Amino acid sequence: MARSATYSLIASNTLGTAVSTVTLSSIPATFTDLILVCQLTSSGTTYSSIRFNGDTASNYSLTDGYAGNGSGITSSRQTNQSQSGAGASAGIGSVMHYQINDYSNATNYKTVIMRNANVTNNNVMSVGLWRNTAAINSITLITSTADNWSIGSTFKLYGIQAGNA
Amino acid sequence: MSISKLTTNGVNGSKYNTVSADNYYMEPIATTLLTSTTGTITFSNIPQTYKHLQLRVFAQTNYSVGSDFLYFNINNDSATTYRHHQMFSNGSGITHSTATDTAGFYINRFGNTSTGYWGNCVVDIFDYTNANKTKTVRSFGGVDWNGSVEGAIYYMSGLYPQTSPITTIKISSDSSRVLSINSRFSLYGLKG
Repeated sequence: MARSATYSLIASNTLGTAVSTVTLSSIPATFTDLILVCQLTSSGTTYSSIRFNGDTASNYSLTDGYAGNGSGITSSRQTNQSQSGAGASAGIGSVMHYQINDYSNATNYKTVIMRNANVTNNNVMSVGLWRNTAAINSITLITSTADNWSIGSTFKLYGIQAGNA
Repeated sequence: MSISKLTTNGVNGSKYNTVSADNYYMEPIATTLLTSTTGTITFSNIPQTYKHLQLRVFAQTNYSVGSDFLYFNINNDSATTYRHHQMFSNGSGITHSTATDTAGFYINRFGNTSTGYWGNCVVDIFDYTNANKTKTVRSFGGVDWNGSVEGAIYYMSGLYPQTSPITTIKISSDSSRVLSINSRFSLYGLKG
């Protein structure tokens, strides 16, 4: 049987100016899963949150575990938030890797799993819930503090296409 | 992560060539999207032409008590003792555990029909065609429960202590439960 490639780059954004919000919009519904990879730097410590389809209602929650900068490990959760928060970026840089399976179904709530690697702040693993059944057509990333992401920070969105049933 | 673009330095470092790289690193093999409830889904006759496999899951069961594990079984083997080892965080603490079972090893936790929550996970199956090594599987995923410890993020390993190449993967719920409609299981091949 002939095979085809998957793991396609949908959108890419490299910051030319420092900003506190990045939106990846008009996401096609033609893939099965999404993977978002962010390489971030900032002047101070910022914690990143994610929001879908511009929904600012209290439809988000999160469970995470993180290892601090050599000072121990912590488990936490958030309930009924207006965005799903996780991850940290600092001046030296941070890599965040989100996976959103079955993002385009219009029947079910959405779940996102995330890993964050950061050598000066937190290494994080988390799972977030968006209690909304709409297909995801835009993703907004937001810093949780007054700090912006620095020039050169990158945001890359990939689509994974499943095979035939 | 797949390479989507390659940039190479020119001879004197002042010239850059950009090369499109549609590299077919990861290819879809098959997917199952449930249109009716079932206790088991099976990928059989898995091609032996890749280096690794990846299984991507979005699933839910009808377990009324809370979040639910699924079994990962290899080659329809229910005589071998499988083992899993898990590290997880549920908002109240980070802990670990291990267990054995002949039905297979666990992969993550998933949501249930009563809450409408769904679990996500990505399972990497390394060197699955090698006939000289026991098989080790890595799973990352979880389910969130909007404030309950039923939600957790998991990082797991599974061991199938047999050296036979993997030709069949079976995912099943506990015998008393079924997978929900719209659960999706997608298998991919990764080239080495």
